[in-house]
Amino acid sequence: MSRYLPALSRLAQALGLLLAVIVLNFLLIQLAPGDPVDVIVGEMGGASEEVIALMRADYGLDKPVLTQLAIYVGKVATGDFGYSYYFNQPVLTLILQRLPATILLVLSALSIAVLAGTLLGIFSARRPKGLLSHAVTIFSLAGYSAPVFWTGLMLLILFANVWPIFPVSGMTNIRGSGGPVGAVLDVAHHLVLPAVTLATIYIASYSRLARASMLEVLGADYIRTARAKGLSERRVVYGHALRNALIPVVTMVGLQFGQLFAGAVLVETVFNWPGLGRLAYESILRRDYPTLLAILFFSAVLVMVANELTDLAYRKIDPRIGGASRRRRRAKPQPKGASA
Amino acid sequence: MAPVLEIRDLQVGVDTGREVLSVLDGISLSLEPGRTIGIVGESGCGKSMTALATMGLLPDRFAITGGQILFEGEDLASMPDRQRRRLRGNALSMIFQEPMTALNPVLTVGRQIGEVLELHQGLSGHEARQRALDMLRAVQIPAPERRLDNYPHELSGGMRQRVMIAIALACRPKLIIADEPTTALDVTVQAQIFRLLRELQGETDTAIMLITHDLGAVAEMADDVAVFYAGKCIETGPVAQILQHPSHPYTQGLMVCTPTMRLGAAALAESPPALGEIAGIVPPVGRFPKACRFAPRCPLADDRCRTEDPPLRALGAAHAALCWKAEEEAFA
Ligand SMILES: Nc1ncnc2c1ncn2[C@@H]1O[C@H](COP(=O)(O)OP(=O)(O)OP(=O)(O)O)[C@@H](O)[C@H]1O
Ligand code: SF4
Ligand SMILES: [Mg+2]
Repeated sequence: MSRYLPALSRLAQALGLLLAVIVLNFLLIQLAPGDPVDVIVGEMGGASEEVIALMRADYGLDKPVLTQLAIYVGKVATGDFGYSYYFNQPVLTLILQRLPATILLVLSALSIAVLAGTLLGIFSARRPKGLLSHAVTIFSLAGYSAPVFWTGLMLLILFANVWPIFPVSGMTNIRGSGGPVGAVLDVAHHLVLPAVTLATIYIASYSRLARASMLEVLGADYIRTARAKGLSERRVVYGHALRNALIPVVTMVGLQFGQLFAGAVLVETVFNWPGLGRLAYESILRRDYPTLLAILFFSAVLVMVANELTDLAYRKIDPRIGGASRRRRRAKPQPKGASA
Repeated sequence: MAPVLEIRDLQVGVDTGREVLSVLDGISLSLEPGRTIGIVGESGCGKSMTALATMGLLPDRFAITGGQILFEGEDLASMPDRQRRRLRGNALSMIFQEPMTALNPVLTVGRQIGEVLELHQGLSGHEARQRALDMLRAVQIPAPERRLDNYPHELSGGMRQRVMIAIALACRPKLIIADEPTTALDVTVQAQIFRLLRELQGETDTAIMLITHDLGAVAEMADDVAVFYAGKCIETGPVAQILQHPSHPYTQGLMVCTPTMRLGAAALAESPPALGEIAGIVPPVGRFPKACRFAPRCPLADDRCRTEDPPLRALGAAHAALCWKAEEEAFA
């Protein structure tokens, strides 16, 4: 039992955090002016006071805020996220439909950013005064300071008009293409621009981080030891330096996951990608609060899962962070000198 | 016996961007198999640079600008890097000062020892692991089977330094350069490490270049001594000779600085009582005085010392000092 205790306490923490997310988001939305009924009435072209009051009562909007909150929390606990005013579907169904597209987009963008960024950073660290190194620095600065939607729009213009080799909207071809392989390729083809757009800003920050981290590691004493062993420069870099240099990169992956979701809202909107981000954008416009709340909830869950995974990866590359294996953890450092 | 290492008139410079400053100027030493040379001198006088130049590991902007480093007759200074890499970690290895940072934190001890064996002796992963275990036994680490899979942070400083020694000795080198191998360790561990090095040297006939501030360690470990000052080797000779009849005023000053306890009563009786601690500090690279570099701090300095380079004077079979007045002092 006791060996599961840390896991249990983490789980309890996670649940507490989710509850806080629900409550805060719920209250935040109460602060926004207007409510869904205003929007619906607006779209209907107006309605009488009685109809409006009836609709409010129907949606439970006439009850005190705290009562509404309690009802909402109770429902979420049973997996009921309510019904979308605008899409006329249970919110959960809606979200489960859109979730895979977003996960696909975010993970692709993240992989591109981490891989490309780290590689660029490492190459430029090996020749800190070389051409590539300067190019990476400039590109990083540009990529870092350009807003995501701007990068997206530029790519969209480029590939819609000038060089139409990638589709600029949606996730699949309406005409459909043959077989499962065709379908996968089709999605991949549509994925290129949104994923690259979302990745751009992060490629920049990963390459900067990897470069700095690699430069620092290459100056470390243990790298001199590795050279003293007669290892080739390539083995020194990839066998000894790389794993150490990756530690800050992995930390950043965990920290950035939330930002990546925020970026996804913009990118999905620009490229019409049918994911949670675009759904968020649409439900904000329509004041579709149940949908918006559920999106925020699921984003929080995803970020927490991502952090947990980062933590695992982190432990895997850095043995100094306890728990690489239980047997090793028991072999505590001896007091200095006593057993040397 | 043919020396395993012979350094001839080594010059090392550092490129500051504006000019190349001399860091080492005309270092010469010779070391035979199975023998130990102690290199002593104050901080910043070029001991580590001599070691790193020999290993081909000089830091950025530092370079060998002249002289030869003959290792078994072949010049390391002019050897292509690829060929030097085959020697490094194999016939020629180095133990560094900082046991806490000199091991890679993300690789196991077994991996870090086994690696050199795989690289230089072509052992398989399994064989290398077996030999790594033997090495851990040889450096007297308790419960070696368990330690093989430990990471450096799970070991004490003394044990890490034993692991460094195991790495350095794994391929049975002809020459080990130990740059202050015990400075970061406490005294009891220091003694253990030195005893270990001596035992292993006895078994393999390895030559050791021991860099240290500790004249006690030199007395205990070394056969010969080279005293460095401001990038020059100012006195060399057999250990007994140097400790009991130091000729160069700088060496004499060093003796006084060292607690007599560690050198024994003999040193106390024979070292000239006139000299106190050496006043002043080692001049930094680029600000070495013209003629004798020790002149500003030397109690015996006169005009000649400040205007003409002092000669290297032979004072006995293998004893020499770089000083105008060495002879007189030695036999005073
Ligand atoms: N990375 C470096 N960059 C610039 N100068 C350096 C560097 N490392 C050493 N030096 C300089 O080179 C000279 C020789 O240094 P070296 O490290 O050989 O001294 P040392 O005798 O080993 O001293 P210590 O006893 O402190 O280890 C010193 O003047 C030092 O300031
Ligand atoms: S040459 Fe002169 S100044 Fe230099 S050490 Fe000898 S006596 Fe002193
Ligand atoms: Mg040093």
